[in-house]
Amino acid sequence: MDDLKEKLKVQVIEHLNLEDMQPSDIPNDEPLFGEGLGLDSIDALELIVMLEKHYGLKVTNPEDGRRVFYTIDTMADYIKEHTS
Amino acid sequence: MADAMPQQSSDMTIKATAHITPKKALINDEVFVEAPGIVRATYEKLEMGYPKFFKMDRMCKLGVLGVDMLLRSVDATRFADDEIGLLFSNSDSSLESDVKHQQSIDEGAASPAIFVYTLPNIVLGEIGIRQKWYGEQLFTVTPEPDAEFLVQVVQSWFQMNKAKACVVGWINSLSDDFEAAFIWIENQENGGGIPLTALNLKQIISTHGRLEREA
Repeated sequence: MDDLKEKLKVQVIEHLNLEDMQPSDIPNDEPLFGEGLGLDSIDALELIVMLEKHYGLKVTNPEDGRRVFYTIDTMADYIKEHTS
Repeated sequence: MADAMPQQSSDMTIKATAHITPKKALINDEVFVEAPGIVRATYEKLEMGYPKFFKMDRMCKLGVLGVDMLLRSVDATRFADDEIGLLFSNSDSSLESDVKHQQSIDEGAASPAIFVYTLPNIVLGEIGIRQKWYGEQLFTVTPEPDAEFLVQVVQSWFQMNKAKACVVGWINSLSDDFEAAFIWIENQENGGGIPLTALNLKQIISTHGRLEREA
């Protein structure tokens, strides 16, 4: 699970073009949107594309998106739940 | 009637400067940071705590850092949020992000996170958001720094009471040999500083080359 979280951080940095940021800068349990990492609606689109590209998962319901992309922890939980 | 008279450039003065080169960052020609990975190192030295910074393209990062550096030397709170103008210029426009945007298209899907930086004047918006400044803004693309033009614009803003202070910036970020210079300008009535002339402005902007040779 920890490996998945580290991989997710690398993918988030790559997909959102967060140059100068390291995986260690992203806590597992801090909100990705709003005050935490400061992501916005444009980044949400990137994360949806990222989940589909790397994990074959489609998030179409906005309410699901809000829950899934809340933190690295919630993203990892969602991926594990839907791919195992 | 007196208000309509053109203001001489010598009535305006340069109060502070900031430069960021690939190896060091300087405030008023004094080294502020000298480290590899200068963009991140300067962000940390400034203790900005601004997560949005990491989403920006390099030109915006340099612009936001440069203004924060200037504010280590001048007190901007003396001015209202609409009294500070931003006048930036470069020769590479947003080409660094434009190229990345084209690459993302070639790889199958345009990236919104990159696309939003495919205009050079976005840097002015990022600075405005960061500082909560709502004054005049202008970004021009010229082959070389056009100091005469930049001085004229500052003059006209001051003369028409569109601004009481102004940041002039020159940022080229296309290659890793990027250059970024920032100059804080006010009316001389506030005391001190270097007279704002085209020659002085050009020399400050071109200091980048000298700094690199000294590095």
